[in-house]
Amino acid sequence: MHAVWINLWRILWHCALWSVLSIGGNTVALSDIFRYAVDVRHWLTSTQFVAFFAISQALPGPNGMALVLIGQQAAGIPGALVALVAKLVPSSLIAYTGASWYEGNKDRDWVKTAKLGLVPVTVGLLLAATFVLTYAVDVKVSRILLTIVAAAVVYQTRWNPIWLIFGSLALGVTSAVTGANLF
Amino acid sequence: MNDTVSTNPKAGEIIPDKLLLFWSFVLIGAMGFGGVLPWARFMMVTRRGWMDDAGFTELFTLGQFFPGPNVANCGVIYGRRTHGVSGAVLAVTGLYLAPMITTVIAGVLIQHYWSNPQVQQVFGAVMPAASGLMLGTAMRLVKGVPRQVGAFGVLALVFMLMAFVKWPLWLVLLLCLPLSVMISFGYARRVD
Repeated sequence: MHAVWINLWRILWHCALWSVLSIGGNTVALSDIFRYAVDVRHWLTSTQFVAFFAISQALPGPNGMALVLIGQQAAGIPGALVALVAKLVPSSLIAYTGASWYEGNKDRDWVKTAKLGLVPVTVGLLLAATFVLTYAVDVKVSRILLTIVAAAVVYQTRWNPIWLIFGSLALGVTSAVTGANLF
Repeated sequence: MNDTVSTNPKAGEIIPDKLLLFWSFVLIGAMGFGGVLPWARFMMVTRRGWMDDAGFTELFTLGQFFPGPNVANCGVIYGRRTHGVSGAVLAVTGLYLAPMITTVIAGVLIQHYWSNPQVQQVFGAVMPAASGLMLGTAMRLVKGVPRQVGAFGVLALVFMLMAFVKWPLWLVLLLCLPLSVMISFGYARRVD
């Protein structure tokens, strides 16, 4: 019983922290979430982590629901609820209180310059997240090829990325049903 | 008063009542295959006529500036503009109602069937595609980084600290954010 409360507290505190620190979107905190949930807490394996990320991309709704799945893995449905609330409340409070300030100051030179300074950090975080995901999952040549094709499609075209997920889903189902076991 | 400030309602703007605000965000969350942004635009601009395209772009830029999910932030800002605190709470709660239910169901199913080899096969294909999606997005964003040695230095430092040294995120940000902003100001001064 005691361990459950400790885990819920850990989910609450860390999801709130990631909520505040995720400057530039949900995905920038992903490598830190991996570090904590997989390496430090062993709530799930690295493959499960990537699977949760893939599921959260495939399901309808906002991205970033992987945290809810991780919370659920660590502490059941209460864990899922705590993760959702903790990930939404801090960032919402910041947006609520900061919106009118930003609206009044966004055209000032120093705000523009400071914003430009955030870009390399955000992109560096995103690349680190990509590295962690790819490293955990691309253990077969067929998987590496699929990652490269998907990356090329996103980079070169303006297709909705959901078709990549559905396409790979079809590929995986075919592979499973025919017993080809490509992946 | 400046009537372009989007945190206050403009003259002649359609203001939804609380129930319609909540229900519209429930629909945005429930329909949002492949990200909710296109659905948020469709619902708020095309279907309900709460704002025009320029208004939505303005709202989204504002939502993107703050940490956390972009569309949830848009919900907070739009909900606040129309109904204050209760509007913000209704928009965000609505947005996450359907995804929360589907996610929890997915979590229960995955715990049940994870060890099944056929399920493993399916995920074996979906997971690399999902990481490729991230890689492609990151590659696109690299094009937006200022073409300066300092900026790419910070990018490389952040990458190394997160991917290899494995520092916690808060520590990396504590070191790299001030550094990056200072470099950005240095370049801005040199241009002037």
